[in-house]
Amino acid sequence: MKPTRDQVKAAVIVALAEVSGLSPEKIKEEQVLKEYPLVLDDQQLNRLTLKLREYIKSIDPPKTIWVTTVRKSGQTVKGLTDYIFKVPNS
Amino acid sequence: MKKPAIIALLLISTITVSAQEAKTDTLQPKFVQQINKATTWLTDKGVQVQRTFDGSKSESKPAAISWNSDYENKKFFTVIDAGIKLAQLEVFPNSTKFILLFYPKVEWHRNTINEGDKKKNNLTGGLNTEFIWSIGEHWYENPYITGSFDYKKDFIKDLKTTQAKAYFSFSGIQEGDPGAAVRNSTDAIVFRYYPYIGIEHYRSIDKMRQKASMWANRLYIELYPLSRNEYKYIQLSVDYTYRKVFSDNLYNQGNLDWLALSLTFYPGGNDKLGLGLDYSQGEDPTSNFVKTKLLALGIKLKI
Repeated sequence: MKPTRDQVKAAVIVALAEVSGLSPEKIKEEQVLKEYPLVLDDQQLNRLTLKLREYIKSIDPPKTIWVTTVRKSGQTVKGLTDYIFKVPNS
Repeated sequence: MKKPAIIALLLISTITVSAQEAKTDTLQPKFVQQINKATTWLTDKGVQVQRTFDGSKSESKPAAISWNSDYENKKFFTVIDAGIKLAQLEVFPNSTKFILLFYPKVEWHRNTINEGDKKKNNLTGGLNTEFIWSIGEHWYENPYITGSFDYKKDFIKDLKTTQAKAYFSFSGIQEGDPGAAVRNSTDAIVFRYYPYIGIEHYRSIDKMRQKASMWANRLYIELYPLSRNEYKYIQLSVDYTYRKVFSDNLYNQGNLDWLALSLTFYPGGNDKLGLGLDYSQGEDPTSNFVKTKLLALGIKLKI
């Protein structure tokens, strides 16, 4: 079943909290992955990609997310949420 | 106008910009806004500009154009250290356990000092790779390898070499882990470190096919002592590499040390444009391991 946008956002925030060491309450949609307060480096963004890929495959196995999408300049929490929300059955 | 006067003016104008920055808080100076606009345009096209793409966290250092003084010999000269990363290719996009990436890069390292071996003019082109394997949450369950294969032309020594390098490290998340952020009360990063071990192999193309093989131990540390919230005004980096030589009939120098200290002041509070002071000592890996000791002041740019 296709998750709601809020469910996708919650999954993205949990993954981000795991790789950044920040608590989920401090992670907001407008935040840029490479900037304050997340400030993820390339290897942490690689780990985030694997977590998000696992989530996507749990809802639509043939689909994926590319590391270049996650490491894209200016990529935000909202950008990732919107991307993953559109993936299933697209 | 003499170069020390130009440097002093640059310092004063940078400090002035910083003071204005503090007053207006989020309002950035026009030239910083223009740089940010240009860097955003380039990164949207998949291009990155940094100091080097050697597979290590030195990649987080900005590219630098510096007007320098050799304080031992009272000489002035210009140094350029810049690398451009062009695009990224991911090979197994459906894997949930590992990531394998390739990207081409070009680097230019120039030093105009007119003094024996210290003069430098190197152009490097090559292919870098990143491999990370994630089998759990602990840092030791997230090992990664960064590698590169390069062709390097040294215009000063007229030496052409191929260089193959691979470094091994771990990606951590908890404070104290390799690569993990240590944050202050405002959640700004104040410290992180990256240890590496690796191997390097150098082979000359046009000089009797001489070669050198080394084991490299490397530690890179970043400190942001004055960071508050999203603003980081000062970056201090320490980069030390010890190279244990297995065999070498190319450089003939024995075991090698390289220490690079860098202090950068960012007037805009972000790390895109700054004014920096660099000190380096040891056998310079960007200049075929020529023994070097220099102090440099200049502009730093990271896209």
